[in-house]
Amino acid sequence: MALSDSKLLIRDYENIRHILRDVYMYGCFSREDFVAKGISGRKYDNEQRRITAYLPEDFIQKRRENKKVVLYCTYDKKESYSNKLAETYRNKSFTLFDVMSYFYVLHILSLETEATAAQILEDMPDYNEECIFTSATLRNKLDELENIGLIHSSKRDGNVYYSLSDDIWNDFSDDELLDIYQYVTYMRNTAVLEVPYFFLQQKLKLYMKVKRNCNPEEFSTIHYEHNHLFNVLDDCVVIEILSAIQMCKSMHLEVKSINGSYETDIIPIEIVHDSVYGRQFLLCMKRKEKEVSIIRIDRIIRAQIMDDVISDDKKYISEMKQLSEHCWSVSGFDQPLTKVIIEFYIKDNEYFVLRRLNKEKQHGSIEQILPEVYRYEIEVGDPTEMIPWIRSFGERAKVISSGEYQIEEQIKANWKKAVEKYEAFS
Amino acid sequence: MKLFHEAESKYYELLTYLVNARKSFTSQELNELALEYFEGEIDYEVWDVLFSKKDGEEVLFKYENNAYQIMLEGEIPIRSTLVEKQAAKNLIQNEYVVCFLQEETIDKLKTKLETIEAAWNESVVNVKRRNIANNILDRSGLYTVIKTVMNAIYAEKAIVYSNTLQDGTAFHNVSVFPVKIEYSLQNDMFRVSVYEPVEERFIRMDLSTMTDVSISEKKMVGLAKKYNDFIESNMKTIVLDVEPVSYIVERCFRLFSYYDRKAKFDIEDNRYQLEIRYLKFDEGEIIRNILSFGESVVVTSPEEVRKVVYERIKKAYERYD
Repeated sequence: MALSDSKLLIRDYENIRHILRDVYMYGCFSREDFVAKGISGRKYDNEQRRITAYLPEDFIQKRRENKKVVLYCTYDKKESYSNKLAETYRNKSFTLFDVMSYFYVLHILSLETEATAAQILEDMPDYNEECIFTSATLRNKLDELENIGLIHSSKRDGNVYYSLSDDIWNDFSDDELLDIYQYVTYMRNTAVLEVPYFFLQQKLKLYMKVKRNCNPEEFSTIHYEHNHLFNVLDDCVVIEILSAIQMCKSMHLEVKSINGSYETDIIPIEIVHDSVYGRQFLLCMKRKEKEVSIIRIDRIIRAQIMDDVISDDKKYISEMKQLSEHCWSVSGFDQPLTKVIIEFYIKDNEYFVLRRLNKEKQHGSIEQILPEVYRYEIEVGDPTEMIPWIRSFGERAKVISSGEYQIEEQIKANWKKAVEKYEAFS
Repeated sequence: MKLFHEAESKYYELLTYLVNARKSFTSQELNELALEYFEGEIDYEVWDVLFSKKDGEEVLFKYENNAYQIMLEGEIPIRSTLVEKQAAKNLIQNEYVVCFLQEETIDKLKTKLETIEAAWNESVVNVKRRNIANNILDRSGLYTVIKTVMNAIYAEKAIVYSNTLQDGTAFHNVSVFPVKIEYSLQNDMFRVSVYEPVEERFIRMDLSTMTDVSISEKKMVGLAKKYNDFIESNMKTIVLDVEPVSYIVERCFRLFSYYDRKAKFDIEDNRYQLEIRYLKFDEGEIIRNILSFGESVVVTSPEEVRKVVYERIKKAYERYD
C-alpha cells in the first residue's frame, strides 16, 4: 500500500471545484445531467466519490428523483459559523517524504537553536525502507518548508543554518487567544477570502488544545446570515489575483467559455464582489488588446502570476481603478452615465422600508417630495442592472425615467407577465 | 501563494495532536479520534500507510503490544504557516478588529507580525451592495457587549442591559436570557436572540443599541433546546417554479443558497422547482427576493403566500398602467 494509491486525496483543487459548486448551489442534477453538461461520466464518478468522502454525511447527501440519484448539500442555519465546503481544502495529496520531513525537521529544529542540512540529515530517520533521505531530497524538503514559512534559513561562514520560525502565539494569554479565535471565526465568515482564516482557525484550535489544554469550540460562537458559502471554492484563484495586484504583476489566465476554454494575459485591476448574489468579478486589462474587460472569477480555471507590470501599464491601471464606482454592480463601467429616477411610496408607519432604502441607495440620493412619497435619483453606467433591486420593492417603487434604457417599460412588462402567470395558475 | 498545500492537511493536524499527546493509542482510539477530527470519511489507503503495522513501513508510530507507540522522541512544535500569518496580518488591518480584540492584544499582534509583509490586501476588493453600518465609531463599544453576551450564553445566565429604540423610547436594567448572537453580512448588523422571561417569548435585538451590559446571576438551563424547538415550530416551507433560463436559474439559486432548500430539475419538462424552508419572521425577506425576479419566479405553494405575492405584483403593475 502506498500514499499514491489513495483515490481520494488530490493534487489539484481544480479537480473538484466546479462540480462541488454545482452540487452545493443547485443540488438537483444527476450523473446523467452532468454528462449532458459536458462532464465525462468517469470524471463525475471520481469527483462525486471524493466530495462525498471529504464532507460530513449530514451535509452532503443523495436522494432519488424520478429514478435518478441526485447529490446535494444541506444548509443548517444552526451550523452557519462553520462552512463545511472549506474542509475540502484539507485533502491535498502528499508523499512519505512530505510527511516524514515535515514532522522530523520541525522536531529536530525544536531541539536545536539552528542546524545545517547535514546536521539535520544525521538525525532524519531511516527505519522506513521507502523513505530514506539523501542530502538532495532533504534540501528540497527544507526549501519547501521554508517557502511555506515554517522554518527560516540564514547564511553564515559559508554555511546555511536552518531554524524554526517563531511561535507567534506564545505570549498571548488563554483569554487573548480565545478572543483572537472568535475574531478569526468572524473574519472567516465575512471576509472575501475565507480559506486563509479557516487554516488559521484550525491551527489556533490545535495550538490551544495541545499547548493550553483548552478547546475553543466549547465556547459559544456567533452565527452568520446571508453568507454565500460557495465562494470559498474560488479562493484558490482569488488569492492569486490579490497577490498579483499587491505585487503589481501581470497574470496568465485559463478561462471557461461556452466552447471549452481560452487563455489570456491580463493585468488585474480590481475584484468586484456582489454581496446579493455572491458573484465575484475580475476587472482587468487584456494585455494584447489593451482594453478593459470583466471576467467572472468562478469561470477562471487557472490563474498564474507572471511578470512585473511596466510603468506605462501601471499609469493606465491607476486611472482605471474605481471604474466600477458608478456601476450598480459591475456592468456599464465603460458606458456614459444615465440618470435613473424612481419614486418610492412609503407609508409613515413603514419606517423599516425607508431604512432599507437609505441603507441600499449606494451613491444615489433620496428626497421626500410629498407625504409618503420619496424621490430617489442615481447615475449609473447600466440601469438594467438595477431592475431586480427595483422589483424587490414591489408596489412601493415606480421608475419615472431612465434615459434611453427605458427600464420602466421593461419592469411594466415584467409585472404584466407576472400577473398573467399568477392568474393562469389560479 | 498556493492555498492547496499538504501542510494544511487534516492528516497532518491529527498526527500533530497524536504525537504531542505523548501516549500510545489502540486502533479503536485512533479511529475514534479520526471521527472527531475529520469531517468526512477516513481514506484507508492513507490511513494504512500512516499507521502501518509492518516493520520497515512505520511513519511516526510503531505497532507494538496491540497499540501504536510514538517513534519520535519529543514534541512537534506547532507553527503558523505563511498563509496563516498573512491572515493574522489582515486581522489587525480590518476595521472590525476593535469589536473583538482589546487594544493590548492588537498591539501584541502588530509587534509579532511586523516583519511579515502583506501578500494581499482585502481593501482592493470592491464589495458592492453590502450595507455597511455607518456607526463605525461605535464599533469599539461592541467589544464589551459581544464578549459579555457570549459569556452569558456559555454560562446559561441572564444579562442586564439598557437601550434606546429608534423612536426614542429608553429602557434601563432590563433582564433577558441571550441564546444566540447573529451577524448579517448583508446588513452589517450584530443581533442577539434572547428569551424574555416575563412575556415568555423569544425576541431579536440589535446589539449595537445595547449599553451597560452585564451578566446577572439568574440562570436558565436548557434554553438552547427551548430555542431550537421554538425555531422548528416557526418554520414554513415555500415552493417556487423557476423559469428555465440559465442566468435566472443561477441568480435564483445563488440568492436562496443560504436557506435550507431542496431543488428539483426535470430534464424532460425543462422545469426547475425550488423548495425553501425559512423562519416565518423572515417571510418579508423571502417575498422581497421573489419579487426581485418579476415573472421568472412564481410561488406555487403555500396558497396564502402566493396570494400575498400576487396582490403585490398586481399593485406594482397598476403603478405603471
